[in-house]
Amino acid sequence: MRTFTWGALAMASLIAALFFLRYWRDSRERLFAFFSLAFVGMAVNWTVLAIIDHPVDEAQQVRAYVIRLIAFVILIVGIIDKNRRSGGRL
Amino acid sequence: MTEADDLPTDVRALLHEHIETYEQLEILLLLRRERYEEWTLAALAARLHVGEELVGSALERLKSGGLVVMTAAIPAPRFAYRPATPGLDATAGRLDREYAERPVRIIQLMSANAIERVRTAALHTFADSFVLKKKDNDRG
Amino acid sequence: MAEAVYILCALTSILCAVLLYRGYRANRTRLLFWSSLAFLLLAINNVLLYLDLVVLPASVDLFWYRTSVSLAAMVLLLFGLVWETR
Repeated sequence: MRTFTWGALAMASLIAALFFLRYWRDSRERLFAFFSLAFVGMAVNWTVLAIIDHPVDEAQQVRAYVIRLIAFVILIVGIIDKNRRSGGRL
Repeated sequence: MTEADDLPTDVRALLHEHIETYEQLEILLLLRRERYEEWTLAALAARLHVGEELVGSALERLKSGGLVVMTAAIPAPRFAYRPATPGLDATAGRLDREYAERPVRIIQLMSANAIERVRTAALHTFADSFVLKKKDNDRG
Repeated sequence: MAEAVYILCALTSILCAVLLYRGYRANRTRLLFWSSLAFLLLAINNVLLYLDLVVLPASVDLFWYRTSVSLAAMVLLLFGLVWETR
């Protein structure tokens, strides 16, 4: 059952990433590329969690969550990049 | 319409990113041609036969695009052409030349950009909401 | 090391949620509404993750609480993205 939920989350993430990819193509706004990448990262995170499926070895699980952390960092980098380009405070 | 395809990529990028209206284009090119002058809103409005509010909003956009700076505030705000990078200056120069040689092509591209902007307005609002405004008068 | 990753996940996701919420406060577009809601839930998910894996004892398992929050987040996000289509 857990694998099912991870699969659903990974799929949802991938679809979100595709939407943001289309938004990037439509608006040429680079922020959407970052969003798309971030959600690909989330999809990878959930997929990896499904593959390793709650191991006793914690190191493996941590690595999966590092991918999630990278996804959020990508998003924050994108937001900073948007601010730099648009004269914002960041 | 692929007539605009032979415009240099940097000029097309400049038009797409920073030049939304005809007033912005005219003001930018005028300020660039007379770059050692500092202009007030009234002077620009009189020179270009355009309302001062339009001039003001155009200058704001050009300022945030790194093409124009406010050089003085008292007794009235004055503006001058100060490109943020030499590359930007070169691109503006190319734009000036292209506009002189083939104005219709530039106008066509600006119209196409305007249509695309309307289509993607919601997306741009989404993206713009991530910009933390600098604190000028009110707290961002 | 593990704690650092989980806490950073929580913090970065909270930051994203805050930025999106501020965005929604500034411009009330529908896409922003659903996105800020989704990221709020993702932030909650990451806080629960931190609590589950670091703070709380092994006997307590918050997996289904965390996961249902994530699922809700993604459903809301997809709803916003699909309905926003023009």
